Order: sequence, then structure tokens, then C-alpha cells
Amino acid sequence: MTWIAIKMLTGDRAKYLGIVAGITFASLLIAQQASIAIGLLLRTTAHIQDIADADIWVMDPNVQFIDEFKPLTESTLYRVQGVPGVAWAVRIYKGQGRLKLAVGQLDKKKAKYQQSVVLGLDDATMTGAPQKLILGNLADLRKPDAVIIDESGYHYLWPNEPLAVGRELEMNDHRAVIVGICKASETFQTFPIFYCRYHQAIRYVPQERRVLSAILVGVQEGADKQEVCQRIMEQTALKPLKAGDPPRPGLKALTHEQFVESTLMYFVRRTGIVINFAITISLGFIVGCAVAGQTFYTFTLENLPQFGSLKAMGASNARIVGMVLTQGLMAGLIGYGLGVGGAALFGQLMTASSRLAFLMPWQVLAGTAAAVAVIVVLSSLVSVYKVLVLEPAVVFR
Amino acid sequence: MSWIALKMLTGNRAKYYAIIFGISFAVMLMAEQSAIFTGLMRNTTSQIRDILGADIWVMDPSVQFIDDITPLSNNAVYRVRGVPGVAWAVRFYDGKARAQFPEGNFKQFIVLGIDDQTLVGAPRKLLLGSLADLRRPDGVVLDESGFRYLFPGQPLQTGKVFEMNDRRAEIVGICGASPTFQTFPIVYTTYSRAVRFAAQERRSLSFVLAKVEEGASPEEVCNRIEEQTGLMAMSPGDFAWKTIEYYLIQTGIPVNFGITVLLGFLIGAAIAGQTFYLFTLDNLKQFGALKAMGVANGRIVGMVLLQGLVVGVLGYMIGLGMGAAFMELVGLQMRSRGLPPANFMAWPIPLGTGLAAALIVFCSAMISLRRVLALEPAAVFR
Repeated sequence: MTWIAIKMLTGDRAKYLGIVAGITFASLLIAQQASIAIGLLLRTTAHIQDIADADIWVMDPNVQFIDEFKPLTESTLYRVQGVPGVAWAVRIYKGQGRLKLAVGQLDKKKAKYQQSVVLGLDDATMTGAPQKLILGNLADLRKPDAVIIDESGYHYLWPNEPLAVGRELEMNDHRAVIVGICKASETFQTFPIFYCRYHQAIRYVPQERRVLSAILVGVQEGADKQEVCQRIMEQTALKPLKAGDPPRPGLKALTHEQFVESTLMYFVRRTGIVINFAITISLGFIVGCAVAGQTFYTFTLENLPQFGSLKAMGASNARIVGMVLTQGLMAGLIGYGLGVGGAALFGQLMTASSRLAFLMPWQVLAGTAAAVAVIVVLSSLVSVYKVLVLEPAVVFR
Repeated sequence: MSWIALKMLTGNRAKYYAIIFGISFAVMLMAEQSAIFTGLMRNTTSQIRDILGADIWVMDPSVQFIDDITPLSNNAVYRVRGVPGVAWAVRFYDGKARAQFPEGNFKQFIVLGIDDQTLVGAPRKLLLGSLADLRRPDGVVLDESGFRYLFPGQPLQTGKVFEMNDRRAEIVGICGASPTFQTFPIVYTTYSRAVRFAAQERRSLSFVLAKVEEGASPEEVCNRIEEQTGLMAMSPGDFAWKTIEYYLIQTGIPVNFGITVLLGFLIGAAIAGQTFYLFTLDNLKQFGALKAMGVANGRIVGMVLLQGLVVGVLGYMIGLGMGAAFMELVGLQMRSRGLPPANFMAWPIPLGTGLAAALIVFCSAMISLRRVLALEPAAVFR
């Protein structure tokens, strides 16, 4: 019986391909768009992921994500260092500056300007330094005007040129010399990233009165991170404006994981990224349903006489439902395989040749499979209805 | 004969509605997405469009679009004034600053600094306060959507105080401004105050706005400014297009909206086309009977096309209307929350979606016709 169902399905080539194409298109679009959305969202936390040394990030209570810090006063550092359970606490600066490449100093049309991210590391300990250096040495950061640039930023600024140290550029009228090239996670904004010492970084970006972006904290061995965060917040809280009110928050302390989550949630809630991708994904789903469902329906309609004869021969309704489902399942499996494979291939090709964000965790595959299953079941149900109400005698008229 | 075709079409309610639904869904999606895209692109130039009175914008040659500013040295304004054909030239500052509110929250602002003496570039429509109030100490004019965003639920009022770069700023007026791409609130203030509100580099002058003397041609004066000063000069219209071109070429926005529009077209074609095909299939018998009665193939083609035309026109109108209504609703919603809406239904959009709908209908009709034309009239009597 199953064999007849499959024979029936593959018998009508055009419709068979139509159903498979509909499902392939839907699963390709769903898997591809979901992977790009996930890749993009994870990039927003690239800087936090790269600064793996810190157990806790301390910042202004109104900061919601990594790209918009509100500067703290310098004395905050000492207040945090004084909290019990804190093994060490160091400054970090993160800002955006504009760099100028010294091409054609005299011909202004050739001058190249580019927004870039500047990360200032603690002068003494270099906490938060890049983990993987491709070229140069971390100790070189102590040289005057030294900066380390990330690899993709280097390729962006000097396309098709071999990696080399010693290049010079200008930021906020200050000289910067590249002494090293590092690997950094791809970021959301895709600007070149410069690592340098804290006190040098704040000269590379035009400043307001306060400059300290955040404080990185390591907890003492055996201390609970969550507890230390609580203690930092309690100890730095401000006096209430009115007597009797609870104290006002002075600083916010988040563990590494909490800060990642907070940044992610900011982008999920406050930007249109998720909605945008969700629209495309649901459109893909609708296209899949429409094409596969309608083609399947037409297909069943044209095969009504066959189903009728089967019924007349005594095939039970359950048997017929099973047959239709088998047909749907087969088309669904093939379409799903082709679609997901296509999406993965697209991702492989694109990430190899460009900086496209693409990440396909198993959840994407499972989700796409579920969506395809819904499409298949829906299309089968529409078709099955026609078959079930069919009078076997009709075919012999 | 046409009457029979219409009767046939409306006879099968479910299919009739499904075809119209398919077309209107496609039209709605295409029109709405294109309008949002056009609106977004238009929003990127709102700061250029909002400044009236200047014939020429002068900037550093490396500037690619309005938000990519390379500051000029302060004497650039004198050099531009010295070019023959320039009636007047004034400073203009365009930058970002972080505003700090008494409650402790902070927000990124766009700060526009207009010439202290002449106030060239001032907002056109003041809802509250007067332009002269800008001369009061610490006075700034905030745009309406910025006010609604910062103080939700409060009536428009002047007198609120906040801080930018440790300096006090007092809202002395509320103005209407075109919605911006970046959705930040906009404050207008005098040039000398604006440069104190933003963190400074060595240079601060963003643009020089110039007016051409009566009788002189703007293009000629632009060329003369470029020759004489080495800066880049262009008309507001050219600068707006340069900005739009930058976003079109350098960002993924067109691709993103293009995909959705294409998907809308595909969905419409799939639903409408297939349902139309099914509908014709169901009515094969009727067509066969008509053919047997001696109706010419040309006549049948006319009937199917008429059916397509009716559903196409209905679907197009419903879809376009729904798209427009949807955008109006979303626009109102966003405005009340202080977010600048992005939608602009330029006339090519209804025209383009009309063509797309016609294409969908035509293709569906063609697929259906194939079956009808190949039909043996005798088949229906078997």
C-alpha cells in the first residue's frame, strides 16, 4: 500500500517536483534567515566574549548594553577595589573614534577616514588583551603610540596587502603605530578594532569630563560571583534623596554571563532585527504552505479516481490517511534535506568569502524541521478531507 | 458572454475569495515594504531637507553622506565667503552628544548648531516658544518626537532642563522636524553653544552653508568654491542624493527589503495562480460545453482574461488600501511613542505594484488557459 502511495506521488513528475520545491524553498529560507539572525545577534556580544579574563563587569546603573557606556569617575575604581571578595579590579575603556589613514597627505580627496572601535586596557596588567596574536607581541603595546589591530580590520583598511606591523595612522590628531595584529570575534558594527593602553586610548577619542567606561573585576578564589556583585552594588549605592527611601543604585555589577544576556536582550527588544527576520521567516513559511499545500491538494484532486478505486476495493479510511501522510512525509523529508543543505552550503560559501554573520546551531535545524512538519501535516489534512468524503461509487459512474 | 464569465467566477465563493486574497496580500506586502523602504531612504536626508535658505553645502572632500562628517577648520567659512558669487556663508554644526537627565538616565542626541547671528538653518515649524528664545542662555529647541520619546504622556512644554557634556541646557521651544533615520532626538541650538555640548576634537565646523548671489548659477559657484578652497561644494538636492546613494550601495537595506518584496510577489503568484488554475480546472466542464456549443477559442481567452481582470482589480485595490491603512496606523502608533515613522508612498509604488499584480493575473490566466484551449469539447459528454 505504501508502495502504491509512493508510486502515485512520483508518477506525476511536475506536481511531485512542485511539492518538493515548495518545501525546499520554505526550509531554505527559514533555516538561512534564522542562522543569519542568530549570527548577527551573537556578534553584538563579541567584545564581552573576547574579554574573557573578567568575572564581573562594573558600570553605570543605566547602561544596558556594551556599545553605550556612560563614563564613570576615576575614583570608582578604588571604591570597587575596596569591596570584600574582589581579588583585583582594573579600568577598561571602550569608545568609537575616527581614524585617518596617511595616504596622500597633500591631496585631501585621497585621505581615508574610517570609524573604529578603540579598546583601552589597563596600563599595568593589560587585562582584556587579545587572546590570539597573529603578529607582534603583547609587550610591544608598551611602546609609545602602540596599537594592536584586529585581522579583519587590517584587511578592511589595507585590502589585498600582506599582514605587517609598523603601519602608521592618525586618530584625533594623535599618532598610532600598529605593533601587532590579533584575532578578534567579528562584531556587529564591523568597524576595525584597536587595542592599546588605557591612557593612550582616551587620547584617541574626543573626550568628555569623565572617561572610564567600565571596571573589570576578578573575584577571590572561593567567592561566589553573584554574591560579590551584590556586595559591590550595596557598598557603592548612593544615599536616598529623601529620608526613608531605599538607597539609590550607584553602580551596576554584572557577571560575564549576565552582561552577555543584557546586551543580547537589548538588541532583541530595542531593535527591529528580530522582527525583521521573523517577518521573512514567516513569509517563507507561508510561501511553503501555499505552494506545497495547493500543489498537494491539486495532486490529490487529480488522483481522486485512484483513491476512489482503492476505497471501492475495500481500503479503510485509516489506510488512505496513512497513504496521504506517507506521500506528504516523503516530499517533506526530501524538501527539508534539500533546503537545509542549501542553507548550510550558502552559509559555508558566504562565511568563507565575506564577513556575513551566519551561525546554524542544532536548534535552527530542529525548528525548521518542525515548521516543515506543520506544512506537511496542513497540506495533507486539506487533501485528505476530499478523499475521506469521497463516495467510492463515484469513480465508476 | 462576459456575464457568464463573471457568473462562473462569483459562483464559487471560496475560490473567488482565495484568488482575491492572494492578490491583495501580495499587493499589500509589496506596497507596504516598498513604502517603508522609500521612507527609510528619505529619512536619511531629513536633516538636509529641513534646512531651508542655503543654496550650497560646503564640506570636506572625504564626506560620503550627511552622518559621515570630517570637521573643517574654522577659517573655512571665511574662505568660502571670499569666493565670487557667494552672497553669504555661515557655519553649521552637526554632531552627537549624550544628554543626561536629572533622574540619572541618559540618551544620545543629534545636536545641530546654527549660526549665532542669523539663525540660518533654524527649524521651520515651531510648535512652542519662539526662535528668538534661542538667544537666551543655555536655550535649545527640541523636536516634537524627541519630546514624546523622552517625556512620554506629558503635554508639550518648555522649561525642562538637562545636561550635555556637563553643560546645562534648557528647552525653550519645541519644533516639528522630519523623521530621521537614526531615531535620536534632535536639539537645535546656536553654533557656539553646540560645540560645547559635544565632546570636541581640534576642529568642530561640520558644514558651511552658502547662498548664491542673485543672477549667479549655483553650479558655477560650486565649481568656483571647489577650485578656490579645495573643499567640496554641492546643492542640497545633490547632497541628498549622494547620501541616499551611500545607503543604497553600502548597506544591506535594499537587499533586505528587496527580498521581502520578492517574497510577497511569489506568495501572491503562488496563491492566486494556483487557485485560479484549480478554479479553471473545476470549470473545465462548463468551458467544454461552451466550446461544444461553438464558442471560439478567442472568446474563451477573453472570458478567462476578464475573470482575471476582475479579481486583479479588486485584489489590487483592497491590497493597496490595506497597505496604506496599515502604514497610517503604524505611523500614528510610532508618532505617539516619539519614534520617527518611516513610510513614504511615492507615486511609482502604486504603479509598480499595479504592474506586479497585472503580471500575477496574466501568468495565472495563461496557465489556466492552456488547459482550456487544449480541451476536446467532446470530452465533457463522455
